Amino acid sequence: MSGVELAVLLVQKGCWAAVATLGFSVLFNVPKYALPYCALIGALGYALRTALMSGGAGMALATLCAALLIGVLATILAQRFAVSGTLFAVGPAIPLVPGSYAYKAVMGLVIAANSPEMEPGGELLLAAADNGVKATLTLLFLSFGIALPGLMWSALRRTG
Amino acid sequence: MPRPDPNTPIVTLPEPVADAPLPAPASLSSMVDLLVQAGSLLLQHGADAGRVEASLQQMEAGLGIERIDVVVMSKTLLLTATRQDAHHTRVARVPIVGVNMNSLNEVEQLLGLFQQGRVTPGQLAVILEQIAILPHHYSRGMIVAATGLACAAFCRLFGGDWAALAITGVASAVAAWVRMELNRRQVNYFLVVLITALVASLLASSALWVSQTPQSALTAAVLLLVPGAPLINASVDILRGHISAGLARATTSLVVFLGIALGLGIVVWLLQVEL
Repeated sequence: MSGVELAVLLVQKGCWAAVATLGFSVLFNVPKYALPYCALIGALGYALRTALMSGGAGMALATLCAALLIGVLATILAQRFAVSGTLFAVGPAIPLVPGSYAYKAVMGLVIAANSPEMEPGGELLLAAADNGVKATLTLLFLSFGIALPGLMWSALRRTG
Repeated sequence: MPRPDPNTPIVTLPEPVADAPLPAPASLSSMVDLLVQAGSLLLQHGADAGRVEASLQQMEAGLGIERIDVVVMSKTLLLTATRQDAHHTRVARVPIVGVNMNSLNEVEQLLGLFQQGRVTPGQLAVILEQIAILPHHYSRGMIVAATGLACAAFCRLFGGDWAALAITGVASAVAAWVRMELNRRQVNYFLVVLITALVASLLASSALWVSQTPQSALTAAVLLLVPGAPLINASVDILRGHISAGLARATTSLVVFLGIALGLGIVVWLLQVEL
């Protein structure tokens, strides 16, 4: 993929991620003045993850980096508006939640439990476990990445 | 861009008239009630356990209490306030209403003002009650439309074509409305997820006839049910050491995923689709 193609892809994905972020922010009753910021942060976070993953990074690590970006931006905005950082962080985090992996893991378990006997090689169970591990770790990294900048900022302020 | 003034607590609220009558000197039990009121508001609108605990402990000085011990569980608050040799404990069940960033924000702003001594305990109780009945910023119609739009965007992110995108939008908007109605009738949460997933995937299965990428519509239409905020709260709770609250939230989320998989799985099995 050439540089231009990648840039176009990132802009496209970013725009759709912004729409998704906006929708969930409305569902979460985020005040109107914060909505544009949420959409922008959501787009940047999702674009960063897409870029890292197209550069060969795994999903868990790419999500950690994207989540750190979201956390830093949300903490900066939270200082500016004197509100809590989660106001700007929860909406943008939703497109990064590995929903389809978690769903595939549970679906795989249901199919495996429903088949009359274990298939040779246990491919179904292995695939379910693989999806489950990816979903769990990605989710942990996601929440860790979002929470870390805020925690570090309050620790710095207390000592500084 | 309207920038909220940090010195006025709640832009949307009228000024509290006067100090509400509070027995003077305020009894320990009325203070515990106040703490439970504030803590419940935070917990039911989607704050993680550490945030609830920290917010309540900030109020120690303002209330003249030496020590506040809080245990936060997924749907319960246990709270003990100690002053000199007296202490008072309350256990409070908290109905979970879902993420509401505006209410969380208002409560935190208010507690910040209280900590600075700009709000009296009497005013605090009045304003907390006003926050509890604060209407949602957005109408039900807007929320339904926004949910449809969000899931349509996910469909596009999964590589769906325009027909799949339109069907996803409609299916998830209808599902969002169904979920609202079921929640209002206080149906069991697992049943709500199951019925909503069935409705969403049945409607989204119409993409099988008009779209080249029906799979993207089927997977995206149920995404409104993915418990994103509880899952993030669960891992934040676990990372900060609130293990029991975190595990409870994680288990609830797992059950929700099971409901989504079951609802979608029934439709997939009925129509013999390959996902």
